[in-house]
Amino acid sequence: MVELGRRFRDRVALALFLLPTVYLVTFFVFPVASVLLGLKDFDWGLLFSPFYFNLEPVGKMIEIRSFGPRTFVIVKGVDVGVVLNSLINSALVTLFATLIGASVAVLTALFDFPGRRVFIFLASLPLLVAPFVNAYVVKLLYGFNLQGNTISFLLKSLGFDVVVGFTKLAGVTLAQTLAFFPIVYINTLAAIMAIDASLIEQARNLGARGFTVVRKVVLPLAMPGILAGATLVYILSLEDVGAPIVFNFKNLVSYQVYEFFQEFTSIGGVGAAAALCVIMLVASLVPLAVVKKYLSLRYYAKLSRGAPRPFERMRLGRVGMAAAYLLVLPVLVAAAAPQLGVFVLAFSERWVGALPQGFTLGNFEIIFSKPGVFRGIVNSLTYAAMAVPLIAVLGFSAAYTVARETVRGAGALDLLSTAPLAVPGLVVAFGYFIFLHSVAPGSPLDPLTLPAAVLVIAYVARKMPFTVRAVFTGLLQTPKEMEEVAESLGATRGTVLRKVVLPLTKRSLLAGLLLSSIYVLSEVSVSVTIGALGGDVVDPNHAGPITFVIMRLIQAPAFGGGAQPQAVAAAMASILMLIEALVLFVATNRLARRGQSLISV
Amino acid sequence: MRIRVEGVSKRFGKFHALKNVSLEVRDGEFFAILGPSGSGKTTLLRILAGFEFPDEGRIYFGDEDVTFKGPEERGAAMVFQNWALWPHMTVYENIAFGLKVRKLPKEVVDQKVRWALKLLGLEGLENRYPHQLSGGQQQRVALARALVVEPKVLLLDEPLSNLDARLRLKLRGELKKIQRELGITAIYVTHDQEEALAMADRLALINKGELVEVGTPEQIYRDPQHPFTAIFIGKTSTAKGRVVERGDGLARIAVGENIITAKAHGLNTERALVVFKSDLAKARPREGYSPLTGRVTVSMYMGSQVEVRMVPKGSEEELVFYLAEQEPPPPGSEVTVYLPVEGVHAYPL
Ligand SMILES: Nc1ncnc2c1ncn2[C@@H]1O[C@H](COP(=O)(O)OP(=O)(O)O)[C@@H](O)[C@H]1O
Ligand SMILES: [Mg+2]
Repeated sequence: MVELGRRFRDRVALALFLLPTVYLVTFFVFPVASVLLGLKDFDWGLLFSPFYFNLEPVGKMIEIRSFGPRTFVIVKGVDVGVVLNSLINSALVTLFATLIGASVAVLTALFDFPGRRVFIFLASLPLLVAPFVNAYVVKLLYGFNLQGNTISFLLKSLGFDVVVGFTKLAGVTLAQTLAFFPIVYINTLAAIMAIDASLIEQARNLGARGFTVVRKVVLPLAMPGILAGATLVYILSLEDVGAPIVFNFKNLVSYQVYEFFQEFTSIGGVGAAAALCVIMLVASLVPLAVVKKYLSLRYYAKLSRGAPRPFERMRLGRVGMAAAYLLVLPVLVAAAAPQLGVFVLAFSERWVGALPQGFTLGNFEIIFSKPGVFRGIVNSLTYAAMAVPLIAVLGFSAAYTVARETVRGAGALDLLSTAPLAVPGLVVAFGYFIFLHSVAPGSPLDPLTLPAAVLVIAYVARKMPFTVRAVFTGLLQTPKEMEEVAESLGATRGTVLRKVVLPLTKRSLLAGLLLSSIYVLSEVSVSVTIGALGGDVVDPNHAGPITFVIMRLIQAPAFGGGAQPQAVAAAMASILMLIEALVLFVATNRLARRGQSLISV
Repeated sequence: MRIRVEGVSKRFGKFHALKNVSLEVRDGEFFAILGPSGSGKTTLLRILAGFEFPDEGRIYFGDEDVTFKGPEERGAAMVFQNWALWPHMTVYENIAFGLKVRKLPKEVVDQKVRWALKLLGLEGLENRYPHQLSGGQQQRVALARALVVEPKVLLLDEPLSNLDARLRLKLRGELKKIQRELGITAIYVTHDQEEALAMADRLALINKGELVEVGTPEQIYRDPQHPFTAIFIGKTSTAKGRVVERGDGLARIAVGENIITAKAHGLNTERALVVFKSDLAKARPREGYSPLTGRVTVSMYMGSQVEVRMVPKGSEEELVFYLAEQEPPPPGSEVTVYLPVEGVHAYPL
């Protein structure tokens, strides 16, 4: 400690380093590492049963049947056991999401064509996350449903008597691809925008045309952004429970871990859940190791330093136009439709078949009249109110240390403060459960005693990176000399922080905190696992946050009184999406400085 | 390739970046465009490269009208101020880019890249990435990449401005030599008058988007037709004067109580703007030089020269002169400097 202290300029610097480091080591590294504790007495041989690995695929990828004039096309996907299913599904989702996201980014950032803004709007829409409800609407639109789905209805009204439907694993893949591709889009976009115009102009000057410029110059230069986005999609897909729950496909790692928290008796018990968490962790660490560099704050700094000269967009040729309108646009519309569908469902009396029925405001009334439902909102706001001040202090300290200190510990903190973005939330949740339940059984920190405390602690660790990033970029754009001059005039470090650094970075801090808070509100993994430990929704004093309530509503068979629980969930999700839209707008348009890309990671 | 710019104007919103610029660059010529920063040099070069289109006017490469052709189709290779080396490509790949885009066979590409590497002394560096090169080497790669495609015209936008002074001088010579050897037409944008005078066969002065004057370095330096040119080139200082006598390209001008001989440029008025070439002044009398007496305000030792600031007798405007072989005269003392005719230019005021 003395040794460590000596490498920092003074106590303030040391404190700023220690605060976030100690927090993240205690509440992130230890819990994640203690997943291994759960492996005690676990027989790994169990994992090699066909339930987990099955090299003889069960089921048919696509089933096509005809009944009279009507053709059924049912896309199902095959079942190759829990572990392989997860790996294959996430790989496919990543592949599709990357293809779509990167294409849209290249198309809209580099080329000018009529309707470009519409493309951008459609691609950005799924950035507003509506946990569970989004997948539910995907199922209504494209899922296989005996009562018909929307896409088949549209096909029929165009004269094609085909019923198309996605179900099982294929449904999960579809829902996740549509929900996650904007993450690749936004990251690729940020990377492309960081390319200086001269690099593109030089290529054209030497005779390269549209597609050659893209292939040889733009894509290689944007690769870090594409890879960072793809990795995040992969991790999000691995840990997602929304789509598996909605499509009722249980043979996925994420679902199995989730189920452990429902009964504490998933097949194989704690040991199997721990083993699955380890697999999930390893599966996400491997790609992460490849792109680690691109996720670090210091790498990020290189991208955002100095504003590149913006380039002129090129005119899109005929082939490009055809591709944009015939290939890309349908995909974008298909991906944006569920987001819009959430709002439609929120105002519908009923939507179970192809089309919604009846307009009502009743779903919003129920949010306030059902105590268990309303309780979720109160809980979420309470948790966020407790988490945000902590995130402010810890996130600011971490960002300041990484931006301004050159000691080795600062580099470690760089990694540590972005790592939570990259570790599946379910692993974190399971780790907390094992860690706190075994370190502090029966104490307020034991999730079985007081899930609320654990939720807040976990939210702080998981959603702090957004604030760290924002403050970090703010600091980069504030020359260090401004602090040094204050010190040379006799100000103490404390005064410098209060009077110089904070005023200069407060907009970035605010932007970061806004982002962190919407991601706290929409957090799923910890919320639906640890959050479920404090009683179910019927209990008016349960500890679950909004997302937990939404999940329960999506799973609910029916209320008494006729309202469709899923529509109530959609109403809650709509409110959440509006808040997200507002925050993203304020944070990116009003608070971020020019050239600062906040929402990409 | 002969290049013609005819009546080119360019607006960015309300801002008039270029106003009716016309000029002609001869085949094989090294043509410099000189002007202060913000004068529109880069804009003109980008219009020549096809990155911007003029609002009015036309651009000809030879007899071909290329005004609205895209950058890909012009065969004009550009060297950017920041060199724009692609960080993800090696030196070899950077240089080969334009050739590969032209779909030349692999052997031809290789042969031409080797030629360019040799020409610019880059042999042995072909597998390095740009960040592994020094500034001078990066500059050479940018040049090699442009030259290797055998462009009709080479467009250079302050290519040496990111280098330190010593290297700048060295590369200035190399660049000029290569241009000579290849006989390529080059248009070179710079705000550095010394660079323009040293390198160019002819140069154009541009100010606030307007073409001021075109001429050889000699003409521009010795016989500036426009007061902007006279003031911009060399070390200068200016005063207002009264025309006493006029005739045969010369004039006698009163600056305060001093009467001096100046080159007259279209002088048809009573009052004149007098531009002094500060470093042509001498401390001792010479044949044909006009004396100018005044009181010293400040003097500074500058190594090979002394900077003397003085207010001429009967005047209130301070003038600056650089005198060789001289002790700094004390402030308040009286001093006389001697000015050659080509060191004093008078314009109508
Ligand atoms: N794309 C543009 N949009 C608006 N103004 C521009 C643009 N490009 C250049 N300008 C303006 O035109 C003027 C001339 O610019 P430029 O040609 O770059 O000057 P120079 O290269 O001589 O320094 C400057 O005032 C600059 O701000
Ligand atoms: Mg310029």
